[in-house]
Amino acid sequence: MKFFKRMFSGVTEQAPVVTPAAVEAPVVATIYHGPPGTRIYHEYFVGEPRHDGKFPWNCRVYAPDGTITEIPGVADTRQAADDAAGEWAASTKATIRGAA
Amino acid sequence: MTVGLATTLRNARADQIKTAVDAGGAAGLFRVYDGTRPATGGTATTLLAELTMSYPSAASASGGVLTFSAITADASANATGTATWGRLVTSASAFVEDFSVGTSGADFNLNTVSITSGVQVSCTSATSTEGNA
Repeated sequence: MKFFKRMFSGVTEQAPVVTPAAVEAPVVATIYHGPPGTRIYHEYFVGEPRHDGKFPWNCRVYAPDGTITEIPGVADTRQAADDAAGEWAASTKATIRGAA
Repeated sequence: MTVGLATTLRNARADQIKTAVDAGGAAGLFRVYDGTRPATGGTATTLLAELTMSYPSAASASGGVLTFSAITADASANATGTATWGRLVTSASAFVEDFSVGTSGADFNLNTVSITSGVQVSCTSATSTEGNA
C-alpha cells in the first residue's frame, strides 16, 4: 500500500487538453473537365443475356461537334461486354481527337 | 390495382441502384442535359455538365429512398442551356438511370437549371425514390 501511495501520491498528470476541431462549412469540391464545348464522352449499355447466353452491348461516343457514333456488339460474358465497349470507345475517342 | 411493397423490398430495390452506380469500382458520373428527355437510355441531348458522385455513391436506402452522398461540382459547364434531365453512369460510363432535374422537388436538384458555359454547376441534393409504397 505504501508503495502505491509513494508511486501515485503527488503525481498529478494532467490529461492533455483536446481542442475540438473547428467544424468547417461544407466545401463544394469541383472538378474541371476542360474548356466548354470540347468534351468527348461515351456511354454504353449491356443488355440481358440472349438465348445463347451472350451479352449484347452498344456504345455511343459523343463528339464536341455533336456527332454521335454508335456501335453494337455481342460478348460471351458481362465483363467481356464491358471491356469491348470500353475499348471501342477509347479508340473512337482517339480518332476524334486526332481529327480535331 | 396498385402494388404496395414492403419497405424492406423498396429499400432493396433502391440499393440496387447504388450497387449499379458503384459497379465501376470508382465514383460514378452524373451528366446533365438540356432538351426533351429521351426514352430511357436513348440518345442524349446536349451535355451541359458532368458532376462526380461520391464513392460509394450513397448509404443504404431508408424508407424506400436512396439519398446520394455529396456530389462534386463541375467547375466549368460544357455548354449553355436549360437543364431538364440527367443520366447516371458508372465510372466506366455504363448506363444506370435517367431522371428529372430541377432546383427543388426533383430527383436531382441543382443550384440552377439555367446553365451557362464555363460556369460552375453543383448539385444541392439527390435522391432516388422507389415507387409502390
